[in-house]
Amino acid sequence: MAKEKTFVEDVQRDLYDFRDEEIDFYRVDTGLTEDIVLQISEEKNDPEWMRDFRLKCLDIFNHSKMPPWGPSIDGLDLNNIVTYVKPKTGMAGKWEDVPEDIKNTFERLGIPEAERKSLAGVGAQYDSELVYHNIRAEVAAQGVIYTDVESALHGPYGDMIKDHFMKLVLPTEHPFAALHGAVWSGGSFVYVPPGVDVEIPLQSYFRLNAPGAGQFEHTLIIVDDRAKLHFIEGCSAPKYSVANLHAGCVEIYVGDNAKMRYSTIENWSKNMYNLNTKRVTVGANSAMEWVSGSFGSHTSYLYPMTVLKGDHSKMDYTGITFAGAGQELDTGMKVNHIGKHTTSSVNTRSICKDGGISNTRTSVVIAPNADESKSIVGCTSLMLDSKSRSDTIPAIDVRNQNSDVGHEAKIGKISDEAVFYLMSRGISEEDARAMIVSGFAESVSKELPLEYAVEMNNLIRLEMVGAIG
Amino acid sequence: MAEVKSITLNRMKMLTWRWLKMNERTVEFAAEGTAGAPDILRPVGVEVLADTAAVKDVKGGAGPQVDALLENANTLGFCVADGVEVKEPVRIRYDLSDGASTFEKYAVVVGDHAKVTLIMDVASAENAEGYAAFQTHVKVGEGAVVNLVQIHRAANGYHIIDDFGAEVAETGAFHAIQIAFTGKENDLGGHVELLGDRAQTTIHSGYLTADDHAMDINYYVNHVGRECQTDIYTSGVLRDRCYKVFRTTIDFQPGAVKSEGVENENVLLMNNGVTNKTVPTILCGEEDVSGEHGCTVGRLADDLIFYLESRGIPNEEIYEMMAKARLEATIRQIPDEKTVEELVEFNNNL
Repeated sequence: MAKEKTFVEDVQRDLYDFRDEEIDFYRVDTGLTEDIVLQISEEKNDPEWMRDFRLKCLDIFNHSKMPPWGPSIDGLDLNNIVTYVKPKTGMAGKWEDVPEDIKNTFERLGIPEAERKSLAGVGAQYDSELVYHNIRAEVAAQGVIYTDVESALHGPYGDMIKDHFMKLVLPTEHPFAALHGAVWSGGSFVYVPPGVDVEIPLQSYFRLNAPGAGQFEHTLIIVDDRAKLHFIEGCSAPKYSVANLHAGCVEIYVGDNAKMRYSTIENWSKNMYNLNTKRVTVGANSAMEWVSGSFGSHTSYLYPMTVLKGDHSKMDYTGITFAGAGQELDTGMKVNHIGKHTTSSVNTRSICKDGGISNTRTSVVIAPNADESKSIVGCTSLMLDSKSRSDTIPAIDVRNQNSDVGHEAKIGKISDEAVFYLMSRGISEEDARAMIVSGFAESVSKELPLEYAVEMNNLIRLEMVGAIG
Repeated sequence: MAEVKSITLNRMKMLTWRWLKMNERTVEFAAEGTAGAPDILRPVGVEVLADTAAVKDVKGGAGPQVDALLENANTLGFCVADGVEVKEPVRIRYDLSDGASTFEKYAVVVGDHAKVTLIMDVASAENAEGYAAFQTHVKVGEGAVVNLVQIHRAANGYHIIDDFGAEVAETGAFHAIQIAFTGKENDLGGHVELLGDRAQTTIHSGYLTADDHAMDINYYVNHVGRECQTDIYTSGVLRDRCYKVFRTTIDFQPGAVKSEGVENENVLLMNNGVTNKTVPTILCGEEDVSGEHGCTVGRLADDLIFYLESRGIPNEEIYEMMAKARLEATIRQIPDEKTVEELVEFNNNL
């Protein structure tokens, strides 16, 4: 069994754990100083307001305190983190124009193939900068903008960026939001005009290749009234012995009568500190859907937040977290009901094994004026051994009489009866357990595009081999 | 009035986001207090505990700053010998006076296979104002059963801290009931250590909080032994502009195999303007356990209202009736008929 498990881990490494040589890349010094922030700003040719904003964020960061809750981040020393690493290439609109080694990386990750088969547009970020961005002509013809944030800053959408950039996620909220504001680079800007239905998804993929580096991409999405969009985010990195940091930020503005779905499969390497912030504000009669799979990282703090601002707006969150050896994944979601007749439905699943720690942290807030609002939260955790931990910390704050909030949480192990039943049908114990875990995760995988569902199921199956005993 | 100082209490074992303001509570409370003058009815079978230090290692749920506040408080002790089943409850009754600051501790040691019920009823003069802090530490022997009932109906000028802690040995059972009808501020804490195999605890709490009053609760149950059981049921009614936080934590330690823990909360909001915060936490370091939490917050079910309205009961009356029913459900858990009757009447007259 031990031999088979080793083999499986090798398969895992083949999938994501490969590195490219850094040749002639531009790197700032390690650490965080005003000079470094100004250097990044200059490198990116920021408008003045953005340079000032970065410096303000640095000041906020320098005066902020680390949160007293959540997993330890003592292993993360910002003095050793490089906040900006730029590959020696510009952003290409064709894969042929992307340098061979970087293109091969994305080929191995299946991005160009996915673009050909099932995506309306792709953005590919390598370390701190986008190296590829493209959108199908017919989608662009509808007026959809999908580009890197830096280009948008200097184009006709510059004012729109200024009006929305870090207005949902304020730099004062926590130290890593401030850090992001100071050193952000890369990421995507999406604008879907009123009434436009982007029928097939857009995808951004973030690859962090550089050891000891941070990635701070900013994703800004504006879905105007009556528009629809499905956006997919993928990320991975090779494993290094030094800590890497991901402190990205996603801000989404959904107009009235609109619909937005944001799907993520996060498979960072297990030396990564993933301290990401995601937030959406939802207009009247609109719907937001989050689908989130968290498999990688050494330590994660990840809680997409939804502000149901408009009356009759709604949110669905479906998330799964799989914490293995050496991982502490603190994941969950937040939802604030502000508008009347707003609804939220949350279904989280977590699995932990081999000493992995999975914390499910949620909050539901119903504001005093959110009449007739409803929220239902379900958290289910599966522990595969007693070396692991699974904690559930759900917070509920209700200030409106005419609302209904329900919460259910369950923690337990794989049912012996279910394993016995499957074994009595000729299935091996190992397969039976893997089947039960896959079934446990099905509520998430069925919400994903097919290729991502396959990837997620593969990840779970691979992780499960050797899990018995 | 008494000199006050700031203390932080009811801190959660595992903290969450600061902006929610649920992790703990900081209050202004009397810096010093004096012993109360409770009426105590001590039935046959209950002896005075000579060495109250026997419970010094028992932890409460309110936290170290309350321990420090009450460090030098008067301690009253009871004990029950092995195998003694006490038929009548120990009755402790406070009638708090206006302007008083009462600090009192109880140390209770219950021997193996013994059984006892303690009922503490805290009332005051009408319109009285003051502070009262109580701490009850209990050691429950093997196979023993302890029922601890704490009732709070002091006047609306009173700030009460009531904290209990219990250590439960193998097959022992500790059942706590806390009911708060009134009081300007009630800070209730509880900590139970299920140390022995097949130990169990139930905690029932019921509250009615109104006006601009505050209710703050923190229960923590630590599962150490195997095959232990926890059931926590809370039923509350909030009205006007009141503020309530309810924290519970069931903590399964590695090795607490085949243990089960259930938390259940049901809160009825009588109007907009109340603040109702709940954070029911399950911490799990053992695979072979079952932990469940469920909570319902908000209004009454539509079909229930429809049924009662079709019987000619106006909507407002339905809410009042159901509010009383919720507290009564908790009252009826008290294993003493006399107390139940008295409290049902009190509840109906509120």
